[in-house]
Amino acid sequence: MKRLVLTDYLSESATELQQQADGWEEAVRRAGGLLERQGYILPAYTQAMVDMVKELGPYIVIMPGVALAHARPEGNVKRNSIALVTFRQGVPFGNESNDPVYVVFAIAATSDQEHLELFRTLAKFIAEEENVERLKTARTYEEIGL
Amino acid sequence: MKELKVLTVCGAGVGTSTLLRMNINEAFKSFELPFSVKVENTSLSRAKGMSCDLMVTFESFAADARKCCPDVIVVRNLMDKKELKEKIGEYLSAKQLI
Repeated sequence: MKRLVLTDYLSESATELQQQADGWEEAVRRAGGLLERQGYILPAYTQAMVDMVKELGPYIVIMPGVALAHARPEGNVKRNSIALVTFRQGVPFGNESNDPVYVVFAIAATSDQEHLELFRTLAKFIAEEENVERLKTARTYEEIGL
Repeated sequence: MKELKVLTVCGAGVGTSTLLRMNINEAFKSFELPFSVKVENTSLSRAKGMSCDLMVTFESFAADARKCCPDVIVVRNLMDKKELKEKIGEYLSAKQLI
């Protein structure tokens, strides 16, 4: 089986760096919006990612400064894809341990199985502290070092 | 103890709990326990109908998790292997499993 890498899902066209957002909802919508514009997801998936946090809390901030926005695949996803938005100033998500958030990934998969693959691939990347540091500070897509 | 049954729990039961399962599995392996450890991931709603020895989850779900399992580990930083290992170590010693 081909070894998947993050760039199989994440591209420069779905990346925005050093942005600003008024609150977590705008931050999540920005990331979802990037995938919508590429035609990878329907707006309903962005809404579902927002609803997840509203219903279940800010647990998607899985580590200090990093949020993995996602929802269950329910036919709203056209293509397995990941968007990345980073924020110059930290955005509070209401997660006591891991706020503020500088890096938001939106993760969209067409099925539960694919979802797992995407998470696994992304986890491999953010498990390295240097990678997370570069994500926070990068001003260009190249600087992220994907 | 033949097998320790562990559930990792998140909201949807697909993404975050899967990551947690992978990292928790790794943390358990480092203890080289004389019994097997089975880690499964699920959503909070499904977890309510499942039996397990230990639940691992996030602050958002901690209160609900405690209602369905007596032993709950609350994880702050999912990617922090040190935190996971420490918390599992505390659990294992409290249960006199190490």
